[in-house]
Amino acid sequence: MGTGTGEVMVETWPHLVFIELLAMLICTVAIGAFSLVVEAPLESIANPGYTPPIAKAPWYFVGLQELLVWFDPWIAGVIVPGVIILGLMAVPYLDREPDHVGLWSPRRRPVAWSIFIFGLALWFGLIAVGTWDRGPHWAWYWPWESWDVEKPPVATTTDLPPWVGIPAVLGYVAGGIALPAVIRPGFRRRLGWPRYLLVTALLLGMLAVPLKIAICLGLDVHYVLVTPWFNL
Amino acid sequence: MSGDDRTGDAGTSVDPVAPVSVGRRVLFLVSSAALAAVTGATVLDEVRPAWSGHWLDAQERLAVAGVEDAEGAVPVRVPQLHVPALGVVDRCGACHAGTDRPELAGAPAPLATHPGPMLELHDPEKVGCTPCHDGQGRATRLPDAHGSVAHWESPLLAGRLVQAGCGRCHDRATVARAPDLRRGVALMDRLACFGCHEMPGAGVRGRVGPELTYAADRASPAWLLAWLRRPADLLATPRMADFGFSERDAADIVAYLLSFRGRAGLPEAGGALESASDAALDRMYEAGGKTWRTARCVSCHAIAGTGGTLGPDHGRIGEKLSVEAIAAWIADPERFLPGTRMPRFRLPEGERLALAYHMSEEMKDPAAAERLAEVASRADSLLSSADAARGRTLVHSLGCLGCHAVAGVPDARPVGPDLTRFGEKEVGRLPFKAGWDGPRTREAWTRAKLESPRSGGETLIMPTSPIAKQDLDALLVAVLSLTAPAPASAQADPPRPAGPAYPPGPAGALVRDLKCLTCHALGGSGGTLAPDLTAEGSRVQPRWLFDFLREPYEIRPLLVERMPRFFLPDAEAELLTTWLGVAYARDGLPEVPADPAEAARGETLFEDLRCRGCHILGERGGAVGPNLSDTGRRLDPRWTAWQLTDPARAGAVEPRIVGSAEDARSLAAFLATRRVETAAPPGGPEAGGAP
Repeated sequence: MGTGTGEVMVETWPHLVFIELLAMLICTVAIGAFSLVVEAPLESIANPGYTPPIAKAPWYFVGLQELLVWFDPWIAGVIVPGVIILGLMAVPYLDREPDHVGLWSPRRRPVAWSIFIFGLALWFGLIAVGTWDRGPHWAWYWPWESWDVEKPPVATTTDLPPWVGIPAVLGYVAGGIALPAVIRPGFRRRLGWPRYLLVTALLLGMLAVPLKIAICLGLDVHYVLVTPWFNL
Repeated sequence: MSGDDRTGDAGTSVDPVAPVSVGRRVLFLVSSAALAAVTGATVLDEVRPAWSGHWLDAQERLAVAGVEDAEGAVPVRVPQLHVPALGVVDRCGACHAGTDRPELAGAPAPLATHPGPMLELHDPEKVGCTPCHDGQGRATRLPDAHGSVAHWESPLLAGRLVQAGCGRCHDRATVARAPDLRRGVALMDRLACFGCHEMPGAGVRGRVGPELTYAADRASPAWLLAWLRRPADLLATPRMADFGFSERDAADIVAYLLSFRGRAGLPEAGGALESASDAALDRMYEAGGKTWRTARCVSCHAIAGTGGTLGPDHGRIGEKLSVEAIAAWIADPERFLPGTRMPRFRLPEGERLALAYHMSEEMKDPAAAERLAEVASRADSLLSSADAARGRTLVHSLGCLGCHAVAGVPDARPVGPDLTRFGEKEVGRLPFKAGWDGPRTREAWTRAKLESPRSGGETLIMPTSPIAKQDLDALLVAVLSLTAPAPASAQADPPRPAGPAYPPGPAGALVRDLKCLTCHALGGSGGTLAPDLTAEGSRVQPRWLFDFLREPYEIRPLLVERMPRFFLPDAEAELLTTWLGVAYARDGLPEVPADPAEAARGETLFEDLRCRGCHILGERGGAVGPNLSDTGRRLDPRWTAWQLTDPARAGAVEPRIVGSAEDARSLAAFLATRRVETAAPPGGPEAGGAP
């Protein structure tokens, strides 16, 4: 732990527990007041004879629904959420720095903090896009645009040929694993190979999501890699 | 470093007795109080919901009105109406606490009593509220309960729109107490909406407008061009809607119509009249005018807005049709418009031609001649470059075939969307136009569509008809009433036959030829303009009926629509008289002896009961009811006695005035003595001018 910081430590009871109690109280009041004022967002009575022009998931799943635009259903709907859950479960086993136990200040752990905040922002960013920017047929509508104007379907985009796609994906994975070890050798040593590989794999997986979206939008590419078993 | 030695770490000290800051303590107090407040508000909302105030108000008003134990009379509660057969759960009574309490008749909304006798006619326990009114029956606060919230598909039918609800169980065309619905349904029929839209109770598709195969034979290309461009230019109240055709569209369509020229087999235009001298033409003009009046054409055809509305306005028919075309139409209307309401008048050929000549000379707008001449001067150049194939496509794709038949073209499928259940169409399916900022309801969309049918986009093809504001409301009611029929248990009226049911045999053929059922009903089907003929054999005397069929005269002075004179030959009048006499009679009528004493008593009664208020007898009387001066010749006294005891059962609007069967017999005996002792019946055909 950093020496000479001059910080004064206090006991968990009553200081931390008090703050937690305050947070609980304020959240309860906010949710109670919210539920009094805002009605449940129910839509029309179910009608088997009518499919609405757009069906959106509950808000907390809209991010996943948005991922379906960019990835195959198997990847967007199964692999990605599965890896997120398993990855979060693995955090206590990956992050075993005794120095950091009980301390979460961004000043102390800027890299870890930034990665987590980035992942959180990505998740809620996808939710925001799916909630406010998607209209009928999941086409892009700015919040001020009317859904009554039908948008033409997006022109079909192309896939990268395998002689570009395979090296690109392999290069991304190999480079992504090698780079932190080269820049910060101490990081890899402290973790040891198994944990280091897991951490970089999870990090690369998360970064791949915005990267793929950027490639799709910027290069007008549908799939980077097409194989008989899966498409990326 | 391990967790154990943190407290001893150099540079970091632990303060074991540091107090929690004052700011946090205050925040704790404030948020605890807020939590208590939110919890309290939640509980209060359940214990004293917003609607309970209306019940307290109702209790107070009842107490003021002198009702004992007002609190017991209207305890605060949600009176839920549950009607499983209709799938209804209505809690409207949560706020509308006084619907069935006459003491609250004058109270302001929402406490007021339900207006009219509606609750006596529709037991709320069996019907509920929302089957008629719509809205969200389960909700107990506003605006949710009235359904004016997002995602509630059927908001409250406000104001006169509630009549749309009547059509779910009642016959839409005849339901009493829903005048707007009836008018709207009639309007939809007149506008021929069914030409393009599937809907219940529609007429026969392709049978509203004249057959297009003969159009180019009957009307000039210039007239057709001008008509297609803007029908309202040529007729003040055209039945055909304005399709907004461009000059090119119109020319292409006329080119297509010209490809049928010659099919009608009409004689050359002007041929019959060419050899006639001016004096002969003048005589024809006079004779034709006389026929126009004696045949009472104006009963159905208005002239520039004055006259009947059963047929089109003929104020400018002379611009449209040649003399030959008019004569051919009168000779056999069915040929040009199968299923038309126009009877086939039994005019000899010469009189037909004279009538046609009179109409073609008389019924014109001189101011239009110039404009038609202008179109005619350009017609040749327009038509020389016109594309008949494109005209055919237009006629076939824009729904023309919904109203007009074309020889050789099979019955067209409707070009517009199915409206059979428009009243419950999902709001999400309605194509609101871009930039729509009004409420997203079926009502708002439909109103906008009816007001300007094509404003929603360039691909829309629905034509425009000029619709007055109050007509628009009626039309809206009729359109919104198009829903799936209510469950059979709730159906109030038996389904009606789609069209008139004609009797078999030669008499039936005659009834069809003379279009009797346009105005008269016979055996439960037909029109309502004129008396029901189902018991005509018992109602009138055969001799009178025979005379009347040959030369009808005015019986009800106020009516615009009069019985036309068909110029029936004796044999046909005889056939109808005999047939009505034997096939359409009523059994069980009371005997009325021709007793002078009885008649004298009837005369006194006639004056005492003030029958003269509505009926003319001799010189004086009101003009509402039929003229009774010639009753002794016209009516069968047994019928008169039977009908007077209860006029409603004979389908009459006459109020029930006569108290006993005996009085009715005396009056019938008196009326049987009333005759007009002249050679000609009163107000003979010559005198049948406007009242």
